[in-house]
Amino acid sequence: MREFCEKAVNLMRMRRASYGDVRMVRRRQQHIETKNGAVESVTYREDAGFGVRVLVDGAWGFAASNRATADELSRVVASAIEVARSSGTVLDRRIELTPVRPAVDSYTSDCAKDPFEVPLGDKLNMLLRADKTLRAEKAVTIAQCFLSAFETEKTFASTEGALVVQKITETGGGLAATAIKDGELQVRSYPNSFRGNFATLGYEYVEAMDLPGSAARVAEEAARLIVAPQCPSGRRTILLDGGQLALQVHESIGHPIELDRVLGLEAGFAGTSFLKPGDIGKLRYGSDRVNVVADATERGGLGTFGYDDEGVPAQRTDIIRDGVFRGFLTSRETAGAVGQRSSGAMRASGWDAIPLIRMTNINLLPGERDFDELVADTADGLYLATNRSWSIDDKRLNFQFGCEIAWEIKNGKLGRVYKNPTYTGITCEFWGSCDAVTGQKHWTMWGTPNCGKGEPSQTAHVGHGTAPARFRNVEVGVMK
Amino acid sequence: MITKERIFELAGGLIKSSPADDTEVYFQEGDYHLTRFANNTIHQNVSLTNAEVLIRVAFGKKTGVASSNRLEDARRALDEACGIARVSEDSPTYVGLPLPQPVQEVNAFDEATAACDAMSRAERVRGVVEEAKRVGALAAGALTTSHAQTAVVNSKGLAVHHRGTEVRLNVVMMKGGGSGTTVRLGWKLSDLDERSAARHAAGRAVKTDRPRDIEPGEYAVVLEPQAVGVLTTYLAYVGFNGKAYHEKRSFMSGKLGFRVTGPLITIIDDGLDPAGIPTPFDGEGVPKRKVVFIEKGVATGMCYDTATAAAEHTQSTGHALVSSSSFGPVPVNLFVSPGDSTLERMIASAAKGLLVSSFHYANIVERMKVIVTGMTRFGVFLIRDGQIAHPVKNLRFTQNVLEAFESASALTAERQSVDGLGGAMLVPGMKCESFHFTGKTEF
Repeated sequence: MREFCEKAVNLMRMRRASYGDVRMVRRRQQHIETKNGAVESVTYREDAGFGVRVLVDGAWGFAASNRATADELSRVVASAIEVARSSGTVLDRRIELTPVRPAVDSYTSDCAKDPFEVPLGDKLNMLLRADKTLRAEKAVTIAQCFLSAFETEKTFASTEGALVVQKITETGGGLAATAIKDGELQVRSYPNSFRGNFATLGYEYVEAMDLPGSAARVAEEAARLIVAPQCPSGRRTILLDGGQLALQVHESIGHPIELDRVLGLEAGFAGTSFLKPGDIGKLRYGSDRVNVVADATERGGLGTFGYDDEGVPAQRTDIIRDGVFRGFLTSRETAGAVGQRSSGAMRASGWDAIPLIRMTNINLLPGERDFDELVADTADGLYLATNRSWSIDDKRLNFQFGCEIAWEIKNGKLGRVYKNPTYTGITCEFWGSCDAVTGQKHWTMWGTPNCGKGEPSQTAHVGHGTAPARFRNVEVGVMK
Repeated sequence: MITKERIFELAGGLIKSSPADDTEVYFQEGDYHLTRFANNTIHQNVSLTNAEVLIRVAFGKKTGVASSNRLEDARRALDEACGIARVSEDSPTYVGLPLPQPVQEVNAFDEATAACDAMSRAERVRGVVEEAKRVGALAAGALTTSHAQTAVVNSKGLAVHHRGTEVRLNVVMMKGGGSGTTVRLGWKLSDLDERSAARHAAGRAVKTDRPRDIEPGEYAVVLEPQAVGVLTTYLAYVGFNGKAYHEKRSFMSGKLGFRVTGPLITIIDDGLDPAGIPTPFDGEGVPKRKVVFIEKGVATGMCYDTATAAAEHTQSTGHALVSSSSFGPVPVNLFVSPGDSTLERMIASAAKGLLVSSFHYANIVERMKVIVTGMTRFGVFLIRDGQIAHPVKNLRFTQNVLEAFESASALTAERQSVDGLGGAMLVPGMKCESFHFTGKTEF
């Protein structure tokens, strides 16, 4: 890989690109699903290729190919240059990159047990044991268990002299119990919905989930949900579990702080942001209990790496401190707009994609409250857990989330279960209503492996550290 | 690109050397080019070449799937798939690979589109940007051209091949607090009139500048095709999949033959209709069959792949994803039948209502009732006494789609291609007498 990348850099220099970089990437992934006591699917996918990105006369060009031969490299570099020249014909402002010290380094993510070396039979056996326990509950109509593993090896080199080699291993899994009765469908999941939870760790991460040991509780909650009453509507105090809060952070903090959105670069698809470059240090994003960082160095986060796809080192930066907005996720191209250097947030979904500003691990820092004590301190409210649906406007202001389950809180105690809970709000008002975040012992890293952005669409793996938190006067149950 | 004969030779060699009882080779190869613009500037511009060989094998009912994007690794992918299948457990839903059937050839390949270069795309984007500047707006969007060939070969003697091109232009225009959009989809670049698309979006951006506040609530709505496309997408996503139907996860489960929407609604999938982006066969190589899901409001059909068809004791309709994915079959060539009205007549018929251009970031709230939430985007107008009164700020809707379609009182005769479930869908505008807006935003 290294030699090929060095050749690419030489070709870009020869063709007088003012800047150029190449990423050579090899990815493999395995996905296993069981359903109702049988193997639903086992798939293994491997792909490899390289992408060349050049700046010519202040305009970008990118070309990529799956064929890593000398002839194809020459063709792809020439194509990237031609593409950049065409970009230059419709250009209002030349692109300038903020400086970065060219890194020559390597990085390997933590992985105690290589998930690709664990025998498939062992994985299936574990999933089918969990599946059997789920189906022991008669109300469960569909039992599903999931395992996934990803391995990415990539080499980045630039005309500035950077050469970075990285290997990142990710693992995840989960289970879901679906109950169907009288035209009603309810799902209960563990440890999170949409195929579970994910981390930049090895198979030890899935083992620690104890899927078989958690299945009975999940099935029992699905059985309770299918006969539960509808969640009541109205202005309520709500507690959100870590999994739901992770998606709340993702949608209403993670995306609006992407500086490319702020600058209008995503207006053609996902949208823009309510934030403006001048909001740093001025905008009150939430209550003084709200402290958020972007931390690509957090161990095990799904947004953890050594260097981003522009060769910028992983960083921890302030996003919100004591409720006040402190900074954006930036790239070398955009950071100059706020007078800074890149925060190291540029990542591509593969060799065939250009890097975009993506969330790293956007973490809500823990507070000091104990969860049980917080429930005891809530006279009248709801505890909502595990995301079921999400939607937010194109400036990231008005959101609506649905959760799998809600528990009533009455006089400081968790009570009856409600189905179909939803809540809605406006971003800064909502974070302003946060009056408590639970402490470190409740804090968990949540992995979101399906963050979509860009055209052609790219799916990023990002992380969110959260602990359950309380919000006052939130509109719950919009469907009356 | 390699020739059809070479693909069949490569796949045939893999099948011949496979120790499995059943072997299926899915092959895809293509070039993809996208020129993306924002703030009246081309800011992202990509040109990609890729291929994929995806192999599904079965020993009895033990199955395995593996893929590689390097042809030289196809043999290794076969070994990997066999290795998976050998140690796997029986998969009760596996009923074997499909037998060969006659496949109707469809013409969806255009040489000029396949040959379109970066400078030609930039020239068309320049036209869009010039239309934006003419009205003082900022343009964003993307122009995509692609060229792909697909083949499926299996050990039952099935061997099919298709080559096609695609074109997609989406334009967003922003002016002050206003915005507008247009999308154009097809397979022939010469059919694309980017300036007309740009003028439509720019005109809407000008008209929606300075929107006024409005309270959420129940309104009659006139939905433009892009908004109808979003609702239809979610209806199809949760309802038309034969696997969801079999597992009683679809709103259609147990409802075939019964009325599920108003009588104006007819929704079909037709992979061979040249008005869409035709594809002659599915991910298993089974020929596409026309499926009528809802006819004049009555639930009439479902789409199937080989496995789900067997479970329902029927025939595959040619809607399998690649390697008969665990997601089940998907309708990627949807058509909503037209009516005889126009948007202007629909607006004139509303005493009070809203004209909605498009929806944004919709999602399912309750699957079995097809309750969907999302935001309006790219222009909403208050209709008063049959006339457009003024633009209003965006609203959140939370709506049972079946109930919205139950209240449909008119459809336009003219239809538009919009983004669908992984493909294009052709839909009309629609007037619904009742639509629930449950929240509002600040712009």
